[in-house]
Amino acid sequence: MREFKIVGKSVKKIDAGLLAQGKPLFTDDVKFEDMLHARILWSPHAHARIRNIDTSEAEALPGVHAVLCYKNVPRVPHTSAGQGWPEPSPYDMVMFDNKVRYVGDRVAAVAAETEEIAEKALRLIKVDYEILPAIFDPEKAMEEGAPVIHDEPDCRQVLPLFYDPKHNHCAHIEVKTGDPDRGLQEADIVVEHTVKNHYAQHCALEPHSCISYLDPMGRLVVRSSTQVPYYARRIIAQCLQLPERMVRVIKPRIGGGFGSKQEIVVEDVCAMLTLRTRRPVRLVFTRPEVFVSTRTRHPMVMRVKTGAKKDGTVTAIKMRVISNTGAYGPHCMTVLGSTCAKTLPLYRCPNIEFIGDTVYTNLLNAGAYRGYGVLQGTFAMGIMMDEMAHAIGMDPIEFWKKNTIRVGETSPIFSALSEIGKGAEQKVDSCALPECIDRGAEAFRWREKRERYRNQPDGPIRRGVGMVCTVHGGTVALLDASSVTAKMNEDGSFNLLISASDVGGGCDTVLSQIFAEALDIPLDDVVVYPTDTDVTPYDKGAYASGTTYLSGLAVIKTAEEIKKQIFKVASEMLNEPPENLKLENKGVVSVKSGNRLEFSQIARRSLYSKNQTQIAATASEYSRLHPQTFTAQFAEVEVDMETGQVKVISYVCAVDCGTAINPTLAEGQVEGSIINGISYALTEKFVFENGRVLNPNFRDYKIFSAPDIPEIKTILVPSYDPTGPFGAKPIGEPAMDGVLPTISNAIYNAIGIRFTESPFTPEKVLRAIKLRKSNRAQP
Amino acid sequence: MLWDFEYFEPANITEAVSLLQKYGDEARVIAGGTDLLVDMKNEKIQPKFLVSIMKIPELKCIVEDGAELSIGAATTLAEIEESRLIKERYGLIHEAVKELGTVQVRNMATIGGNICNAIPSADLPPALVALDARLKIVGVNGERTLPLEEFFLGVRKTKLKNELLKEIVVRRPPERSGTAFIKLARTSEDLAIVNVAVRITLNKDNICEEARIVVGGGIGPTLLRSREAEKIIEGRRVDEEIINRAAEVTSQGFQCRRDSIRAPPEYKIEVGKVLVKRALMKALRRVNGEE
Amino acid sequence: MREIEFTVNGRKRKVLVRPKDLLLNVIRDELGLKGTKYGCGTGECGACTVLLDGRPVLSCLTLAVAADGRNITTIEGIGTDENLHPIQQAFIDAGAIQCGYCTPGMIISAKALLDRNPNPTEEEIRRAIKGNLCRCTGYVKIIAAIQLAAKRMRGETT
Ligand SMILES: Cc1cc2nc3c(=O)[nH]c(=O)nc-3n(C[C@H](O)[C@H](O)[C@H](O)COP(=O)(O)OP(=O)(O)OC[C@H]3O[C@@H](n4cnc5c(N)ncnc54)[C@H](O)[C@@H]3O)c2cc1C
Ligand code: FES
Ligand code: FES
Repeated sequence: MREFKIVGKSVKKIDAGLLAQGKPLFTDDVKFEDMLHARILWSPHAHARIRNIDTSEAEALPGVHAVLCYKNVPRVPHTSAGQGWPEPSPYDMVMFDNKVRYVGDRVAAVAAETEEIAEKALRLIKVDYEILPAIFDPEKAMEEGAPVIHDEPDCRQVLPLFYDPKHNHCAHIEVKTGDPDRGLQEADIVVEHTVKNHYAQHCALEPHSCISYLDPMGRLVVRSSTQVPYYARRIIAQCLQLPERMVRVIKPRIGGGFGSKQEIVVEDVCAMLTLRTRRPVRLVFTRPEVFVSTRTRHPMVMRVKTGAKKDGTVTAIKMRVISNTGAYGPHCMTVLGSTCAKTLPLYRCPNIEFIGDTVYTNLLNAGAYRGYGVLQGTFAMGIMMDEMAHAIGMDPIEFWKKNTIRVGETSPIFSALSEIGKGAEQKVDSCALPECIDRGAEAFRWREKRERYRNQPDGPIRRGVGMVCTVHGGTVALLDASSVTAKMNEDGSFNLLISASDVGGGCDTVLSQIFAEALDIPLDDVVVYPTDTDVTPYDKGAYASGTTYLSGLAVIKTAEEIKKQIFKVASEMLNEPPENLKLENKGVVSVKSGNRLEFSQIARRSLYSKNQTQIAATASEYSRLHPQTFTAQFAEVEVDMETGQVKVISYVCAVDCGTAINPTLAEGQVEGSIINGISYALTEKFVFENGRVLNPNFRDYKIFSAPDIPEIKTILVPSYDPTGPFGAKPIGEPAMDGVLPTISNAIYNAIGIRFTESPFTPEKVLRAIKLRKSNRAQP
Repeated sequence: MLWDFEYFEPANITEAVSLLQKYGDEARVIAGGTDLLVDMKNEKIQPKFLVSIMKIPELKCIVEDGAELSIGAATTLAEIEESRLIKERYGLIHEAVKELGTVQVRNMATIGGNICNAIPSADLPPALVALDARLKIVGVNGERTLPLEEFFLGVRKTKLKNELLKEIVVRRPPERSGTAFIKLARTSEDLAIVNVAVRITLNKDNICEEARIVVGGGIGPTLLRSREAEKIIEGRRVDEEIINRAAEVTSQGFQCRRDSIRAPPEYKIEVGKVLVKRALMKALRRVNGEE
Repeated sequence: MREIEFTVNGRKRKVLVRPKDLLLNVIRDELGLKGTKYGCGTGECGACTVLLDGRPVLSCLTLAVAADGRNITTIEGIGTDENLHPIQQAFIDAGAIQCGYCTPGMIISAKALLDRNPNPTEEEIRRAIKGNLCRCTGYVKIIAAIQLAAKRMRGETT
């Protein structure tokens, strides 16, 4: 492993000081002259056709400047999913339609002088709905005779992918490796479960926000809380039927995203209102709007059957998945694909069958959310592994170790499937999972606790421990790309122009560290400028945990280009061939003569003196494979047998993310993921009534606050991935994947009941405890 | 979003009640606003006139007179939490207020608001009822006193008629009393699924002279004081078995609504029982100085 | 409309408000202090926390008229560009800031705690920020930052 100067150090986040002072850095922190305020009218019905809509009164209200509805906007089928192009998600939405497909679907929008006038105007819009039967059960959605949610003739898949909207069936995936049936026959034990995860919202603290305006040249400028500025530009241009050159997207600081801002949910409407009114328009969602009308996690029903031999070898994995995408299908195929492609390579099992379907229902629109299908798949497999270990009487630690992939190995899944379709050969370039398991178990005191709780006395409070291993392949291989531009200034500093979109994780800092390391300069000499599509070059944006890895590679490549240019100028100045030169502490030194030039001398010479040139470079990288990040997670829970309440007492997560470019920031990703995961496992849940969300606010949808968190320990296990920037691998999502099964396994260990449906609410736990009691009473 | 209203800040009670009388149903008292403004934003209510009582000095007080404590209706929960008098002599109130809401909410919210909002999950009313609280209520025709127990008519419904809650008066628990408040919620910051406040007072022979068992939190349209359960305990030596019976009997009085967002009715009944049992056990341990 | 006057971050300010104007909107839109954030509007997230007469309150549930004559401190009134408040510095040093959207409210709550209790237990810290939601950090480093700030403010470490 290499020694680094700046990489691997927990330097302070470069924007932390400004954020700590509350500087106006977020989308909604600026005010424009003449700015209008937009509000959206949402559907009160789960499924209805709009017979007519009368906006005349709203339009007549003084202060109202524009009202949009299906009658007066272009009908452009598209997907809100911020993905590469052409998108693997169906084109099944238009800005406004004459049909609504869930409670909270868009009906109309108003721009007015004040939010209040806009709100009043919404109430003056008369909508004549023809209410249609709705379908909420994903397992019945594909049945013949179910209400067809997308009966419009223009919805389609742009790629040659499965798509059958007439049966509410929007994605289908089948993968088979080896001979799963024979695998099951060869098994000594066979385990079967139906595992279900539930809807959840990202709950980024900053609501989705957008301010759009026209610049003096008449170009559309969109300031938006987006994770994917370039995709946002493309989709806005598409929806508004403008060429991309007429659209500029600026991403200021973002108040958290977790996938919810990888979707174009505010920008198209806001921008359209600007086009109509020629004025700046502001659209900021309220918290209930964020809950209902942005995106959520895909709930899945996963029927899993696995087999193992007495010696602990897993012989077969069969998984049958129905994923519920809600009313529209952004990410419908790719999340499902990830449940297989990015989850199952963990297992050293040749015989795997995965059949998955994604269906439409008249429920909330699912989309990208930290974990992205891998979380669901890991929930199912994490439980199965525990159950198999239990069935053959092996410590789960040994069982996991025996059955998980190792460095240098490959999985047949890699070539069978990728997130977006056919996969590609790859092997695991680095894997410190065994160390993660050992170090995690030691810190957690796994064996000691297991022993202690095995013999705990009967009482109202029982404790237990559980563990799980995870893998998460980062980036979308062969599609995702990143570009970086750097230029040198007179003082030898650099502007680093990136579109890798920092949503809070700290990539502006991490990428500056990588750049500084690559050129051997202090961090202060990197002036990072994040995304403005007029200025910073193309990047996929913040998703698939890929920023550090992929944009980091692009940063290194850019730095290499810069280095070449610096050497060229320096070799002229020193009269020595470039081969003699090396970078050292913001200067160039000749290894032969020992002569030294400062970067500032080189910069001034190049700009002002001779053969004038701007030392600058742009370089790009695309993702060649899915770097594999591993974790081993351990939870200790306490179950109150009389109230059913589950409390997580302590949690240990050992992570192999390759080189942690900035350990503090990496830990932050893990801690945030774990707490979000525990909160999801125990308390977060949407409550529906006929498709309507009854709890779209923090009062009724509970997320953890500080007193709720357990003792938590993150262990960054050192490893080095040869494909990554300075050995780094992704870290944004992986830790969240394992929380549901780790807690479920710990509850099982505590009370002997297996919970295969999340969340593990007190009423569910208590009901199960009672049921078991009454079953035991009457054998 | 908030819709237009007129706002008054009377300086005394007389002025306040005359405004309430004048504007009748269109007026609302606003104290801390932590319930009222949320309801107004959600458009559950749309009053045209708000009468703030936060500038009325008489409504802010915590005073003990003999074995009784008076708390002004506009006293904030933070003031109550910080009161040493309350912590030492009326520990039950302290215990209930400590976990109520958040620091910010307690700085804003008032005891009067917690009562008058008449939400079954409110945390203070059970504790206050367990201390035999009476309310002093003022209208244009003068003042009346009402046991808190009788104040609630249903969810968001009280006996106030264009009146103002002025003061809450509670009895100091006699010697050899043990009290306990337990709240069960989904997270540390949540309204109660069920909350329970109890008091038991023993005589020198360890016979229970007085018991109070009060349950809130959506086990019915209002909180429930279970006199039947209290009778089981009173006049007896309290032990686990008696406590279990009292808990069982208490839960028979629950009238849970159909599924609420926080928990289904069967669950509330089940844990309500457990909480009553635990609270009584805790109170018993406390009388005996074991906790 | 009525004119109210209050002290904001040490400066007397006069503003015209309607009864229904919330302190949050007045602070952001009239006074242009954007550090105070909207996160929910119903009192649950704490992003809008400001100090009112030294106590943390929710500006999204406070009518501006009710703040007439009172003393308000927002995040902009805590520390200066040249001289950050020790709590701000500790948040930076401990890695307690990810997206930073919850940070102003979090720091205000922490300040209110440490002003009254210079040596809080971890339990007390957790309780003091119970009303401030953070979705990014999982609170671990925020709690550590407040502990660090308390230590530094007591002069026990640098
Ligand atoms: C984030 C959050 C968390 C919360 N957590 C809890 C909790 O854990 N437990 C809990 O019990 N509550 C909780 N609450 C609810 C709320 O804070 C309390 O009910 C609070 O005590 C209400 O007091 P207030 O002064 O703010 O009342 P306001 O909102 O001002 O008034 C509430 C109602 O009472 C009426 N009213 C107020 N005072 C009087 C009076 N003197 N005379 C006549 N009528 C009057 C008003 O007209 C209004 O109808 C929470 C609220 C929030 C926002
Ligand atoms: S915005 Fe005030 S508490 Fe959330
Ligand atoms: S840092 Fe993002 S919400 Fe706290």
